[in-house]
Amino acid sequence: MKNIVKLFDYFKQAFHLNVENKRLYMPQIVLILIKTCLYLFFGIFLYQVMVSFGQTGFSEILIRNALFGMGGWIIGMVVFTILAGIVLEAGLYNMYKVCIFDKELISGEFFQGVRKNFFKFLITDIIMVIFWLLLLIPYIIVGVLSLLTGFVLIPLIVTIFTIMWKVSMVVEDIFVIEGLKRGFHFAVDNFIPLGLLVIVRESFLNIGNGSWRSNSSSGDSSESASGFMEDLPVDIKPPEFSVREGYVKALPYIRMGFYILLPVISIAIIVGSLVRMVFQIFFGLASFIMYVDNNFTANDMYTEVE
Amino acid sequence: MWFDYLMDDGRDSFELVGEYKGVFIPVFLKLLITFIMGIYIVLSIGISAVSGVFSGISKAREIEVLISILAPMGISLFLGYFIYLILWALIEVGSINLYCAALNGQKPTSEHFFSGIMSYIGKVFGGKLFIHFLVVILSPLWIVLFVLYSVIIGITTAGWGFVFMTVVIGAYFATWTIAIVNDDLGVFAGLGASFRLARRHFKPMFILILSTIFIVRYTSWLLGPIGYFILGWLIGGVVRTYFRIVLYKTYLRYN
Repeated sequence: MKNIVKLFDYFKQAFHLNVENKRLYMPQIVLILIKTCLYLFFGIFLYQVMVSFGQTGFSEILIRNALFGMGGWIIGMVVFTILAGIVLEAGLYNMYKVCIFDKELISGEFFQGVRKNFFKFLITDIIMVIFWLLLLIPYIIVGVLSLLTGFVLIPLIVTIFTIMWKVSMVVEDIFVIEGLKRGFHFAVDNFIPLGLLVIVRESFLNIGNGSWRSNSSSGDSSESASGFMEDLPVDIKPPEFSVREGYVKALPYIRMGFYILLPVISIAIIVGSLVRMVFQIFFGLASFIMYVDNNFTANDMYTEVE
Repeated sequence: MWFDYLMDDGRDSFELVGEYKGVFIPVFLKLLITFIMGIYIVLSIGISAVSGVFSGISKAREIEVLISILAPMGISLFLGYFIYLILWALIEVGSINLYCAALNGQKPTSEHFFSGIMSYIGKVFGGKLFIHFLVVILSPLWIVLFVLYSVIIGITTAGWGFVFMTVVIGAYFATWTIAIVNDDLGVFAGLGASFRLARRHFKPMFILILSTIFIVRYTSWLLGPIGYFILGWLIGGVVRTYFRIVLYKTYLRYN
């Protein structure tokens, strides 16, 4: 009970550190802007492809080039997002550490953190990917056997046992395996308060990802729609113009769709990411404070810095 | 600072619910009400449909049969709505009395739950009815505003605009029942007190309602979709009760 109640003090400290160190937001804001620009450029690329189809028709070479181009864009964006995510995490975690031990940020903490933590975090993420690949089949079996409860609970439990992995690596300046051990032991010793922290954190961070429950019936609806079309008593004749002519007629509407959707999606990405950023930094700081509070005394903190 | 006060209230409420488990009794009562209302709605719709069909099918035209089914169904749904409002007001007033007892260091009992119910149930029922009446009367206006808001803010903020709108409205209407029961106010004075609290102390109210919505939603689904129907009401109800007590403490703090 006493440990759980201390969570409120961690939240207080995290809030004050947040308010006093606005520079914590800078790296993430830069990343959000870069990501938005990438999505915007991808949208413009798609627009150009659509317009070129209207001008030159659907030749095999053009379709192949467009597909290769889109594939390149998508792969590039995925790789960039993953690497930028690791860079951001590595730098931010060092900023959290400096915030907690020094109480304020001066300059250069982000890049210092990237230099120190990037490869450690990269290895950690690779291990996590391998772990999930190995766990995938048992995860699905347990998830189905537990009437879908496992699908929610297993990731939550894995998060509880791994959330302090990177934190311990940064705070204690240790390598991957030692960090895993210490993070795991911390979770075992503080399972209930840490579990509550993870639940509260996930409540805020997962609010935008709740659509998994409503997506399962999409396949059925398309099937029923096609069945409905087949059952129609009216004999609908295909339109008497070629694909290209139809496309050219539809092109102004496609263009208008791009003009509206590109800025709307860009603003949506920026706003959504900014809101998530506030929660991420707050709960990141709270996790660090909890780890430090349970592993260091006040004197230790300042010795560590020296 | 407001956030420190909010966290202090959160911590005190956590210790309070740990000490007085009786505050969670209304969670089970709410389940009972939902159960009763579910049976009532299914029975009333079923009986209306069956009796309407049997009484008119042999001699009436299609439209008459339809009216003979829809009319009693509408009346029974309307009656069900009033029964639900009365039961909801009963639990709301009783719950606030239980929280009040716990906050005063007394063990919450059934006596606390029923004390003052007769005085306040009418006001809370009337207040809820008034809010629903306003919603219906002003529906053309708010539907237009909602469509405009959805297009301009809701879509362009990836849905966060809808979340924040719900939270802001929730913050302004959060404490009117607490104000009525705690300070013996009338309906309009209670609504006024709730609005004043939200206007003067918007930040803590916003964070509190935001946390309530997010955490209740997430914890209710913690055991997956099937667990939601079996235990989600209990977990969500417990978490919601905890946040109601924090809300009560916040109300007391700023009043």
